[in-house]
Amino acid sequence: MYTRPLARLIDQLQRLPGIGPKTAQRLAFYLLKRPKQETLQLAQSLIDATEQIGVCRQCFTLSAEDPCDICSNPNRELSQVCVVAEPRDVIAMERTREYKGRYHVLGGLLSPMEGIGPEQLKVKELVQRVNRDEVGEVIMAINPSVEGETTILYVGKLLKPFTKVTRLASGLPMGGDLEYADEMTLARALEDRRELI
Amino acid sequence: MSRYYRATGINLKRQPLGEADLLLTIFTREQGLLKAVAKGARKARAKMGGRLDLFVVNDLQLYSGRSLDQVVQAETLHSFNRLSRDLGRLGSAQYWAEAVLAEAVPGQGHPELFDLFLEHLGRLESCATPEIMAQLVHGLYQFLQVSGVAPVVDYCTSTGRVLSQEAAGFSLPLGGLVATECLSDLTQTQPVTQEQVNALQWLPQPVLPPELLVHPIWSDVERLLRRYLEFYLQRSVRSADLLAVCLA
Repeated sequence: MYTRPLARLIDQLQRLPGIGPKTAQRLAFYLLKRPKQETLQLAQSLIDATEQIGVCRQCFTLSAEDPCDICSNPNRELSQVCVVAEPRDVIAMERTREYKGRYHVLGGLLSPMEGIGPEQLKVKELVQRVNRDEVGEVIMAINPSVEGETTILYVGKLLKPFTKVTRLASGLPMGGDLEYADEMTLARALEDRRELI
Repeated sequence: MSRYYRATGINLKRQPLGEADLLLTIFTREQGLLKAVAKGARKARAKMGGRLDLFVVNDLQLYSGRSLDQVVQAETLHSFNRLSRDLGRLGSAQYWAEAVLAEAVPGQGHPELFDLFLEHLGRLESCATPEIMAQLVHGLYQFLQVSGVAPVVDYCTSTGRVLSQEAAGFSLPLGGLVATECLSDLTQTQPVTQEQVNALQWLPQPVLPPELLVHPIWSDVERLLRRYLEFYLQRSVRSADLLAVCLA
């Protein structure tokens, strides 16, 4: 039905998350309609990203440099490490502009039902790093789901003998409505309430 | 006919779907296993966020879609909050969830298994930490029993002779204990000590005696039941691999 290069493009686009055959077809036609230079720039960006982006060997986030900008920044606190599940969580934390320490990307969450154990994650490397760099605090910035809690409890158990381990507070989102909050979130918010300063 | 329907269900599996949706595997009392999408549930301000975590029991309003059903509303009936404060409890609950997922059938209600699962999650949540392994094994056996596939523990599966607190063997293909004299004639059979037979024979009871709740025998019995479950399912029980890590 499609000419061969177009069929190949649609097939490749379909492999992207959330893209079905219809959307892939629409995207392919859109790309072919754009000025050639723009489409080639997109293709070049894909090639550059694939060839230049690797993993920082200290924190395991995605980076074009090794060590990454955060790990090589002398103004970042060496004594604080924020543990996240995925590289995109580093971006979310950086957006707050509140955190001045460094990161450690685990590369996923412990999931016994999916057979994902500590050996598939960068847990051993975290323990080594905490001991080597004499880290004073490890902040667990992990999603508060069952897999997240399993990971927090497991990593916390390993690190507690060496350093202080904290986790992000969980509760009501800013601008949220108490009436619509679910019971678990409210219970956790109540449990972790704090005194007014 | 309305495409909306209600069900009482416990979330057993959740996978990210698209930009901010969740694909849930829910074990419902009325319709067994069902898969449903929760739109926007991964957003920080999602109304249903916490209600869709694992081991939360909800009164659900669902919409029957063309390919997948959609969770429209969820009202929490029970959440096992204390499970998430202990690695051993969390690991055990996930082990059970894997066994229940293997036993439950889509579109076919199994209220006995549903009620039993909730009852044992409650026990797991409230038991003392050293009792977790005993509760885990007991729950696992009870789930197999209510599904009609529990191993035979009171008589020899080869001869039919009643076994009373004596050393015996455990046959995977025959699905239970065999008398010692039958051991040599059977393959895939392993010897079982008198103490293990005694522990196994307590498992069909609704509750375990208090003096047995903290006992090292349960680790051996768990390994035995796991081998049986894996033989029966013809695949490995993945959560069990992490059990040692969780209960260490």
